[in-house]
Amino acid sequence: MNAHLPPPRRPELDIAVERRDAASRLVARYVAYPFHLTRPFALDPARPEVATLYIQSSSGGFYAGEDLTLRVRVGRGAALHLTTQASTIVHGDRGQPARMRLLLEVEPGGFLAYTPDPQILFPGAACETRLEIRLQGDAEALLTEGLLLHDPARRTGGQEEARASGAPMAYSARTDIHRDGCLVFSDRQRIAGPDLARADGPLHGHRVAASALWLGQVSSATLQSWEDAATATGSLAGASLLPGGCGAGLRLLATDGAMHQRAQEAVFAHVFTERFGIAPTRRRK
Amino acid sequence: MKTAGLLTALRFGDSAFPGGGFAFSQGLEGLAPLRGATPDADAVAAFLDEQISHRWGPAERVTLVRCHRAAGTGGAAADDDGADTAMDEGALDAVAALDRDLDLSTFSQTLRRGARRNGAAFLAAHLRLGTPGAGAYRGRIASGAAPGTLAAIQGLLWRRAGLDETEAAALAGYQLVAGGLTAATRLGLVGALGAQALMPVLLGRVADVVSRPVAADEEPSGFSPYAEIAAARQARLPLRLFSN
Repeated sequence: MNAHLPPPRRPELDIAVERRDAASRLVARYVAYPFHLTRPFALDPARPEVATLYIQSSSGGFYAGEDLTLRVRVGRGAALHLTTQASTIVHGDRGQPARMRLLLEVEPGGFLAYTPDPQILFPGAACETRLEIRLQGDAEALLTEGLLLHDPARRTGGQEEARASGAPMAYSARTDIHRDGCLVFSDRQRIAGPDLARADGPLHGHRVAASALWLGQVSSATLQSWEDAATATGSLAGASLLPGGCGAGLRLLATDGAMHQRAQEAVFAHVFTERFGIAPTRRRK
Repeated sequence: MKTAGLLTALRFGDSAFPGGGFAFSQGLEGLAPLRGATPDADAVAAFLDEQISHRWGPAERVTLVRCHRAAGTGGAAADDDGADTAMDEGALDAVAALDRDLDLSTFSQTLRRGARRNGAAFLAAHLRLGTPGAGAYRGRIASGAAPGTLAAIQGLLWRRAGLDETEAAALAGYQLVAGGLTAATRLGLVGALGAQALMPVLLGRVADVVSRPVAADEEPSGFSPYAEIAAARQARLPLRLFSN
């Protein structure tokens, strides 16, 4: 139970960022198909220690049978924002799942924001993501994940049959939080695709379901203002303190991708402002 | 279900049994602020159906069933005054590990607290009744070795009280439905007869979920963002009837 991920083969994306004077530098970089990585950007002039990297996919999506691994290390005192330029389509053949594994490490004083755009679940898609983050000392992180339901029913007039035929096969996202070697929280979301597509299913008519985990010291007052920032975008959002004092989590439902993007930006901006004392420059996509 | 099991389930499922679940709505109280309107009977039923299908079924029920199995690996008649056999210590340690796993995989703080408080009340009743294992498990909770979630303690103590795995899971599902409808009644969302009218469909869902096998290594999981958002909203209400 709750064993660490087995040692992977060489990850398709393997990077390390370390603090060098005022800036955070990319000191190790291995990127293989299907990933492409931009150069680091220093988007926040007042906080040059924050490096921003965009991950891109050159394959046109995430395919059944793929098993991709990403490893990211953020060194002592460094700060990295790792994001994507757009949502990722998860293709489906109603067979094997598309698997992605992420191993993240943040050393004392470090900060990592991993905020990918949501995965778009196409008909028959089975998506399985497993993320493990190891935080040391006072390291902090913001992790987001989400799904966007491809909506064939909208094109065909909302018939229940069309919903069923266009449904994904399955969605699974597991995030394990380790602080100084101890597992302190394990977020395990799993649902059958047809349940996601049902009009009376747990999405309650929304197309996007997302989560954010803010791993650090979060007060009750800050928790509420974080929730309010997400809710102000029109999304349904609810925040809660997580087990083991490891931080706070936020669940979010949005009617479409645009609403989710506004909410994700608000969620990121709030955490960034709390951490760095200034609002972030908008990350263009 | 054999007659003895049926009667034991009726005993523990009776609202007169001092299990302590009356103080919890499992997020139902937060449904009105989330919807922006008072939920009607259909909304109450849908909320509970979602809890059964997408949270309790794949999460609490899994822990309950696995704790029930683990509880059977030790001495069911272990002395509660501290003279547990080494074999029973191992069983209780296994239950404690499953208990911790459920607690650390529960997103919502109010639902985590509710599960612990419900578990404490349930354990207190069985402690006074002398159910085998109750005393030893309380020691684990007191020492911090186990959080004492309701589902884990149900699995342990209902096994020790003679319920089989299916009976224990069905009883827990029944209590989830009955407790939810009682909360809905107290919140004025449905009347007593209206609550009873919702029972058959919801208990049918429980029966369906309970019939699904639990793998030996299955871990609690789920997908209930709407209920978790409702629980977060409930926690911010200035006036609350329930703890969650």
